[in-house]
Amino acid sequence: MFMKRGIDIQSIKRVSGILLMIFGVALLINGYLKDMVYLINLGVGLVVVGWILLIFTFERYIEYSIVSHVLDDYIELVKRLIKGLNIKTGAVIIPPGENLKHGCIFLPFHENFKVNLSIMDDYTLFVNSDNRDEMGILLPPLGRGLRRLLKKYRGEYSTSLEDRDINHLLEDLEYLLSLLAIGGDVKVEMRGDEIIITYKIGDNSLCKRLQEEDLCRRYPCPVCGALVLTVAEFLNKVLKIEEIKEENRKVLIKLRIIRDVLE
Amino acid sequence: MKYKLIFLLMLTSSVIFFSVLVGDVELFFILLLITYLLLYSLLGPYFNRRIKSNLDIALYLGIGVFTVIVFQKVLEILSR
Repeated sequence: MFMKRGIDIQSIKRVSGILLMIFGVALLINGYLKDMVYLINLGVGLVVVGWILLIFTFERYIEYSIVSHVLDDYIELVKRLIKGLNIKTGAVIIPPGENLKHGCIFLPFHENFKVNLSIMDDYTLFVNSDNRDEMGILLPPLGRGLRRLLKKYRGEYSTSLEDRDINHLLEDLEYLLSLLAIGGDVKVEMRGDEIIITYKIGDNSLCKRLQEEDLCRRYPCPVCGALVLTVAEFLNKVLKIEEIKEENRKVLIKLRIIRDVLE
Repeated sequence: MKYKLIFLLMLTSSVIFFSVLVGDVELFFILLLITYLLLYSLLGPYFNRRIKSNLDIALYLGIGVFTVIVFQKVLEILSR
């Protein structure tokens, strides 16, 4: 609801700006033809006000595009790690828990992996185990900071895990996107263990860069990372990213709940 | 947001006020430019760089029109 309202306000402002300018020009012409100075004055004034209203609406996504460029070096480092360690599986999102207080992204080395939470903590980078299927690297997801920001503005969940329904999650995701003014129109579908999230993104430049290098699935961008982490935290389940696809600013995220988790 | 709202509200109210009271387009334009300059100097520091550069374009355009008005007046006085 929040996002839809956020988008509407921006588009309403733009439309009102354009309408004010058109109305101003109409008054100006009308005033000139009828030789009425007041109408000419009002026309000029409305054109100026409409123009300034339009100027004020064209400031969105700038901060996000700057942030996405700032993150380039970190993404480059992760890309090198992924290529160097030949990681081919999709990332595993671990919700905040006892060992990992803010949640993490686990990149398993092998395709038939197992998640063992008892050998992971906030200071672990390489997950070492006697069982090769449990090995991998543990990294902070890019959207973790945004998730913290959401918590700061939105507060913690007041309901217990059992009482939460999907509308709470939808509202949370929409609020996150509207708070950062980066997108909207979030939809969440749950089919058994499969979760499908779709949303519209305003600035897809980082998506394109990550998709070119096939990194989306293994190390999602801050927006997808924050959304995925929010879902994992909401369900309190370990999730595997099956697919992240962006087409015409519409992003599709496919997740799968991992049931077989050692704690 | 609130600074932008103040900027817009003050500009709109001055537009309505001047357009009703002033019976001359040139005078109205100069008064509008003065109001714009005042508001911009007071509230400008609160806007981000991109908005400022866009507002600058409006300002330069206003100064351009103001220069034309001044030249017109000078020519008018000289031709008397």
